[in-house]
Amino acid sequence: MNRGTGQKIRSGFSLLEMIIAMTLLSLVMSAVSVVLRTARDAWDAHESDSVRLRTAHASVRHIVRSAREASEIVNITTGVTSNARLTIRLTDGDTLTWQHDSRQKTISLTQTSVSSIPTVIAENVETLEFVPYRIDGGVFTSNLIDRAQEIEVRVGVLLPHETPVLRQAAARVWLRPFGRNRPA
Amino acid sequence: MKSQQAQRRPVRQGTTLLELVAASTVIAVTLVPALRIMRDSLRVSRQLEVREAMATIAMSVLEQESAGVSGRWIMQTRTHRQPGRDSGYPSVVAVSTTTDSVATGGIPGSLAVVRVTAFEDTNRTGSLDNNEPSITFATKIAGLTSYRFEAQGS
Repeated sequence: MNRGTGQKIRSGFSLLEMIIAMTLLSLVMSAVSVVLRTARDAWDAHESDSVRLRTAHASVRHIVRSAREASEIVNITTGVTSNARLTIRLTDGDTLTWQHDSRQKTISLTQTSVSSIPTVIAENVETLEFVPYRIDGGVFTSNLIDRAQEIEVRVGVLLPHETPVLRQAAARVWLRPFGRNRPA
Repeated sequence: MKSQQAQRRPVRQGTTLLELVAASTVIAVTLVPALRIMRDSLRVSRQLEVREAMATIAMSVLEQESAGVSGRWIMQTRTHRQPGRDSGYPSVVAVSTTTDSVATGGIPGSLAVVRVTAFEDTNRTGSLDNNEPSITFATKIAGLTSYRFEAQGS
């Protein structure tokens, strides 16, 4: 029938249709990529914060769990200092030392029964602080720091935002008097 | 006559825009759930973060209360408001209960049960509601003379 009229059948897309289609497609793809990139950036930022906060909480809980079994405080640096340090002796004679390296931003642990070489147990730690307390909750002010009955462990991490924020995880530990070496 | 004009009209495919709309719809339909999953992941991650903080806070309060009862043997219930203020969790509240009653597993004068519940006080009522996440730690402390001497030594 059509052949009879001499009209040519058009098939495929016209140039205009292709241009419109490509333009719309590029607009849609641009919008999608912007949305995905923003979501990805938000996720990365949150993940980074989350890892550092978990490090802080894990460090605090690790120190508290070990210090519960202390029979003696061998060495402690109190307050805000660089390279804070806590050494405790356990009832079996083993000693544990936690040392903050303010330059490397790490906490290392030395356990004499295992090795004399410190092992890094936490990274990206900005601050480590030990605050001694009396058993009634008051701050311990005596020079006999080894007689402190509670210690608050504070670990600070810097959250890498545009404006960095220092966040702390803190917990107290009661130094049980089991077999503690007491001055006569 | 009319059918002849229709036959002369060029045959147009005319599906390009429809296809594009369909493609956009498919993209939207897949993108929206993906973004929703990411949003939910962020929310769950934030909840985990708060629960981790609650665990640390509950542990800290448990240590304080255990130390306190070992030295003074005072049975009491205390509400610790904003124990996580300096840690960035001001909405967390901890309630500690110390008792030596037999009903809770204690022995009067000899064995105290210390129980700490930390919860996120989202509606700021100061008490634990059903929909608020919480964590409970508990321990028992023996009433030892050595503990009391130790406390007096401070």
